[in-house]
Order: sequence, then C-alpha cells, then structure tokens
Amino acid sequence: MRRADTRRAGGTGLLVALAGFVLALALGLGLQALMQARLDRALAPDQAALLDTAANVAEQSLGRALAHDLPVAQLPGIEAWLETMRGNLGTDARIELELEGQTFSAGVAQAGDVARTRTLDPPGIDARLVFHLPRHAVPDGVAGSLWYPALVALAAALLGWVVFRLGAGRALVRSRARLEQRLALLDTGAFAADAPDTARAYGRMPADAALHALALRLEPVNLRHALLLQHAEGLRGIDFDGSLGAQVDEVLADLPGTWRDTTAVRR
Amino acid sequence: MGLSLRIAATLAAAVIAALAALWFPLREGALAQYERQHDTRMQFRLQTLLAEVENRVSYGLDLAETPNVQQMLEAVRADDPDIHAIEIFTPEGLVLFGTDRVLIGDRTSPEWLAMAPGNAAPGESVVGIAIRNNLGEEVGVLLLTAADGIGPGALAQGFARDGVLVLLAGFGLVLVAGWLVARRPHRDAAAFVAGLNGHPATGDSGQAGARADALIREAEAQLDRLSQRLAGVDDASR
Repeated sequence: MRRADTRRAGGTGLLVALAGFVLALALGLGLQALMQARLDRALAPDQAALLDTAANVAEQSLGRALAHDLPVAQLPGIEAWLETMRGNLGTDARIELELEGQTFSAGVAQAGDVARTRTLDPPGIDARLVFHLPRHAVPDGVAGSLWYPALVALAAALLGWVVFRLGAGRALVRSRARLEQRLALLDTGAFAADAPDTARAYGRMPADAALHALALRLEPVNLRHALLLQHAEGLRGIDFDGSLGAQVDEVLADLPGTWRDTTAVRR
Repeated sequence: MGLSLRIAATLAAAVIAALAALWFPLREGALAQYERQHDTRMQFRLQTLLAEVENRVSYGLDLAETPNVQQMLEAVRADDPDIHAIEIFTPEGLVLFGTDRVLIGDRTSPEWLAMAPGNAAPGESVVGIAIRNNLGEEVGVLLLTAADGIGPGALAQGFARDGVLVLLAGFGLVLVAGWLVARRPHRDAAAFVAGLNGHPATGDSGQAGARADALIREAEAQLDRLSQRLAGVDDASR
C-alpha cells in the first residue's frame, strides 16, 4: 500500500519536474529572445553607423587610388585592404567590394548571415560594398548560446523535483497514507468517526478531503450506534430481575467490528 | 495551502531560479557585447582618422602646419551625428585642431590628456590615441568624443523590464501548471468520494470508495437489525 503511495507521489514528482523543464525552457527562450531583440535594437544604430563609416573610408580610399587613373583591375592589394578593414571592424563578417563588375572579398559568410549593402560613389565608378553580418548580435559568454537555456531548464526540472519531494510530495504521501490507514481500519470494522478536533487537523491535500468525506459518511453510522447503545442502556435501566440485561448483551455481542476510537490513527 | 498552490510554489521557485540563472549572464554578456560593438565603432573611426592624420604627417611637416586637418575633422564630425567632438592636441596639451574652433589654442595638462578617455560626461564616451611621425615619435594626441547611443544604463533597464515581463507571464503559467499537475490527485480523491457516495466507481480510488461505502452500508444494515432486535427485547419486556 505504502509502495503504491510512493509510486503515485513519484509520478506526480515526475510531472512537476516535466512542468518545471517545459516552463523554464519556454520562459527562458522567451527571455532570451526578448533580450536578444533589445540588444539587436540597441546595436543597430551603432552597426549602421559603423558600416557607413567603413563605406566612407572605402569611398575616400578608392577615390584617391582612382585619381591616379589606374584601371580598376590593376588597383593593388584590394583584398588585403578589405582584410584590414575587416580586422578594424572587429567582426567575422565577410566583406565584398563590387567594383565595375568585379568582386573582391575578404572573410567567409556564415549560414543565416544578412547582407547589408552600401553604395560607394567614387567619381565615374560603379562600386558597392556588401557586408555579410550575423543576423543577431550574440551576447558575450555562455548565456547567448542555444544550449544554455536547455541546461538551465534541466536544472530547474531537477530543482522542482527535489523541492516537491521535500515539500508537497511528502505531504501528499502522508495524506494518502492517512487515508489508506483509515480504510485499512475500516476493513477491520472500525467505524467510529474521527473526533471533530482530529477532523479539523486534516491537511489540505486531496486525500485529506477524501478522509474528511469518509468521516462525514461515518457520522450517521456513529449516530445509529450511539442510539443503539442508549437504547441498550435504557433497557438495562429497567432490568429488575437480570433477564433483560442478558438479552441486551446477547444482541450487542453482534455489533459490527470493534467500534474502537480511531483518533489514534497515526498521521 | 492546497496541492495546486504548493506545486505552483514549487514550480515558481524552480522557474525563478532558472530565469535568474539565465537573466544575469545574458544581461552581462549583452552589455559586454554592446560595449564592445560601441568601442569597435569608436576605435574604427579613431583608427581611420589616425591613418589620415599620420599619412599627412608622414610628408615631414610639423603637425601644426599639416594642411587640411581642420577641414577633415569638421567633415568627419558633420558626417556622423553621434560624434560630439574631435580634437588634436600636442603631447604637452595644446589644442592644435578641433571641431569646436573656440578651443583651438587652449592648453590643458598632459595628465588631463592621459585621463580624458576615462572621464567622459554621462551619455558620452571618449577614445584617444597618440599620433606618431615616421620616426615613431609622438607628435600629438587625437581625442574623439561621441554619444553613447542608447547607453548601457538604458539597455540594462530594458533588460530588467524584460525580466519582469517574463516573470509575470511565468507567474500565470506556473499557476496553470500547478493546477494541471494536481489534477490527478484531485481526480483520485473525487473518484473515491464518488464511490463512497454510491456513484459509479472509476479507477482504483473509485473502487476503494465503493468498498468503503459497501462496508458502511453493511454496518448500517447490521445496526438496523440489532436495533430491531433490541426493540423486540423491549417489546417483550412490557
């Protein structure tokens, strides 16, 4: 019986752990998304200004190089210059310079990167600078990674399970044990309802409500029992020759069970 | 406290701990990323300006006599509204060029110059770098003052609002989850009470209730029989 109680509470504990995992994961991902979006919004002006600055610098440099009337194809070290720019931008982004149909590049684009284009305006030249940037700015440290919320949710599940086992789970097992114990006594014929003060001491677990319902159901039985005993006492009171008392004892010998006081039920 | 609320409180503790474990490092990481991005932009601007100035100094002219530096600083300042000021000082602290022309010719101390990047006004940041000639000698100091953008303080406040919003949403979800998880024990108890009150029994709990009901009915019937027998004894005694 107790094993079954423990198993049921264990099932509820697992449900609590599962709920803790799902809630922590969902809320954690929501929090991460909200904070990510806020960070993106905060960084957007800086990033746009940085790209504008880079484009201005590129435009000026190109303008100076082209002022020497060199053909575009012969401009020296464009890719090294882009690589330097990439280093100065402090990014892993890929930078492409499209110059009169030719494309020079530095860095490798990642899946999910977003292209941001700045049109350059050196005299008489069709030029564009394309930056392939990550869609989101990833916060420094572990918290920006996707696995971190999952790990935190697992820890929340474990914490929820432990707290449940130490608190509500223990109360749940105890209340079920109280009910099972009372039912076991009922099997032996202990029909006496709990005293009012004992009934008030029931907890607020579901099994306590069941125990309370059982106590209510036993009250009429107890009332009948009390009436029977009063009737028997009355008959004994008018027993002048002892014959009536013997008949009363004979009837009471068939009383169901022990009718013993069950307020001693361990809780 | 009922089972639903106790489970909800348990879940709330777990969820609050989880959100705290996520929020604090996220906040720190995001603020660090923000600072880094802002610094990158400032440094990029500073480095490109430095390259321009050093390129002009490399012709061998004295920094103060280098042509077009003042115009270049003003063009850069006009190009980027976030830039509040750009100044070029001698290493001794004399202002040679500046986007605020009134300051040109003013003198400050080398100590102030050295401390300037760390002493920005609220909402601003200051970056500085030494200007060197072809021989590697320090011939000046370039200082750039720019707006902080949204600012780390406002960003941190936004993150706090996000945290509170998610906590409030979590509070409602936790109550619902507590109710859902507690449904089974409540259903068991309800089935027991239904069985006890003579309604159709469902599940183990319902059967346990029905069994208790049968025992009680049997006891009631027996008490009734005994009462009748006592009544018979009573009648016979008259």
